[in-house]
Amino acid sequence: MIAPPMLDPVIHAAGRLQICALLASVDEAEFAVLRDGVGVSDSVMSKHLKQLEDAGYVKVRKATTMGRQRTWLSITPAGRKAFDAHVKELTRLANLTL
Amino acid sequence: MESDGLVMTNSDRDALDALRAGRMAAVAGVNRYGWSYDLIYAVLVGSLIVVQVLPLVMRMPLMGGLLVLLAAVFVKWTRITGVRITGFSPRRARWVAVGLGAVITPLVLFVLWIGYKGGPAWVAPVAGLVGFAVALTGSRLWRRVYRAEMEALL
Repeated sequence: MIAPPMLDPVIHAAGRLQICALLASVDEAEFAVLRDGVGVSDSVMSKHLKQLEDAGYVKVRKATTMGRQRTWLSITPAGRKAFDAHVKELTRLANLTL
Repeated sequence: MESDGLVMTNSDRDALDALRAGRMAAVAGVNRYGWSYDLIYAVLVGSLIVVQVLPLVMRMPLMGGLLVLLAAVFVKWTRITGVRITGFSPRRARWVAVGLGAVITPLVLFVLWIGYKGGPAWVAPVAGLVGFAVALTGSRLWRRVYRAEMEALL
């Protein structure tokens, strides 16, 4: 018996899904761009990112530019795979509903 | 409401909206690479073609300088926009980048060959202008294809 497709609970929360969608569309994005894009506070964004990082879906890189530290984020191959599967399942559900 | 995998719940609908919003935020970031980036990039690519006609002793330092400038422009705009794009994803936009390389590389090699053969002096500037136009068009086209591809996924 084939297991039914599942939505990934780590990605499914709206904020984290938005982060993954943005990161899957570029090579790397800065923390502030993600925060503004998602429209949340620094602390909420940090919590989302921590969960994604713990799941191995997001890679964090710190870079110092002109004495100011900036955080850059990218989606990992595992994150991309999970995100693609999640989007596929969401699309399937949407098509079922229509 | 939790998804049961059989019907679309409100949380799934929210998720779809989040997906769209995330992709649009990416498009907004990439859109910040504007005309100024395209023009500087195209001038540097055009110059990179023209210098191939020069003797080795002049060509090498100039090429090195232009490549460093190209890298610096890329880094600068990455910092300004807050998004880094190499041009090789998503899928359709990648082909624009590949096509750009497929036109620019032969132009570089052609001018290099003209330099060795001692061909007419007007060839290098003309090839440089062609390279400039191709790079400018390619850069604009890449962004247009990227936007279209992102919107098509929504």
